[in-house]
Amino acid sequence: MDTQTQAPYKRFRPERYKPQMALSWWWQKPTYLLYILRELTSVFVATYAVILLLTLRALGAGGEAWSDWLTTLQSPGMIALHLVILLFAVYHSLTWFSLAPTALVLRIKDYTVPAKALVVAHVVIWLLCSIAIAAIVLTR
Amino acid sequence: MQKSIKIEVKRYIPEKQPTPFYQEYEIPLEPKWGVLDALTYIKDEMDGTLSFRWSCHMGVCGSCGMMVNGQPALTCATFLEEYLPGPIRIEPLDHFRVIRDLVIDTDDFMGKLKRVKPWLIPVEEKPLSEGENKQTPAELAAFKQYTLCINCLLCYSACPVVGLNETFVGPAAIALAQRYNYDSRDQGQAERHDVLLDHGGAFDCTLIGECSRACPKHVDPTGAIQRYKADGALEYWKRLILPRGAASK
Repeated sequence: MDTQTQAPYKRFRPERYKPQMALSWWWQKPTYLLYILRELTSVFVATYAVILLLTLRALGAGGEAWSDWLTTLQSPGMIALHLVILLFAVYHSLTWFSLAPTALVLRIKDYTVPAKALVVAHVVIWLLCSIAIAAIVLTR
Repeated sequence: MQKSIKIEVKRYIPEKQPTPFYQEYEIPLEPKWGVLDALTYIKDEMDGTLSFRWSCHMGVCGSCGMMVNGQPALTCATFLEEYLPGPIRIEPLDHFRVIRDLVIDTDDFMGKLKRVKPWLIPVEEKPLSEGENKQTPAELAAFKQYTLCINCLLCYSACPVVGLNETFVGPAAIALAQRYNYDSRDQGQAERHDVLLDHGGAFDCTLIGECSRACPKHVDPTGAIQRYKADGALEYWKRLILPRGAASK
């Protein structure tokens, strides 16, 4: 976007010092670090999607491929990876829901639903859905 | 009891040297002094060459924004007591070009602000004889929070996107665009969509949220931008799918 609406100032002291952002800017404030971690969660979520696709492929190949894949999944490395992915996925979800009120302003007549209530509602629905899915998967 | 406090000021004097440097001042610690009072003391009693902006001294003019120990702050509303035992490091607002010492160049921001057309754009001009444009309290409440912006630019300093992406129109400008978008008397949404849906517009925001934490007036630019993203995404699809002119007027 062109934001220049007037010619740069030139008359008396036109010198300007342009500060450079340090490459480590994300390390300089805890809030920046939390933001970068939130963005990094996408890498772990994508990794899990790849694992899921590999699982489907092994299932499609059937028999030996499937049992080989199950053995791979049960290795300590894979279990550790899954735990890390779970941690990041939970962090991703919590930050997502906690940011919901920034985009969503719910007005019922003259009453504005408080931000906290929106977050709690989202988290409760998320937990209920998770429990329902867990119940279906684990009781089969 | 501490009697004095050390103030480190980032100075830039283009006719003396091309890069900024830090200068230290040891000033008496007065219990109720703000950081701005400390700078005023330095200028009056110690070093008249120090340059900084200030005006109202009561947190409404938005002139005295600086980085205080790395955080953007209104120096009139930030007190020496909060930083004991010191030292306190004072720098010009981040991400802006510096003219001299603590004085930043706001031209870039002014240009960006102008582009989002932060004024009422009615479809047709109503003659004065028809009287005032009335609003209900609910209509006022829809945008009032965004009117509280004082253009102090703390949000621009807090935002890494502003620092990394020079074209980003920025938090305050988008909040002020929304101030008019949500005004019942305004019909200028389409013109603002042209700017906010473009490169450098609202979708360049990556939702860090630091602008709202820095805002001394609780305007919540983060919220304004995210709400715009929801409206803007809808407008984008309308423009793509519907015939010309059928999208928002």
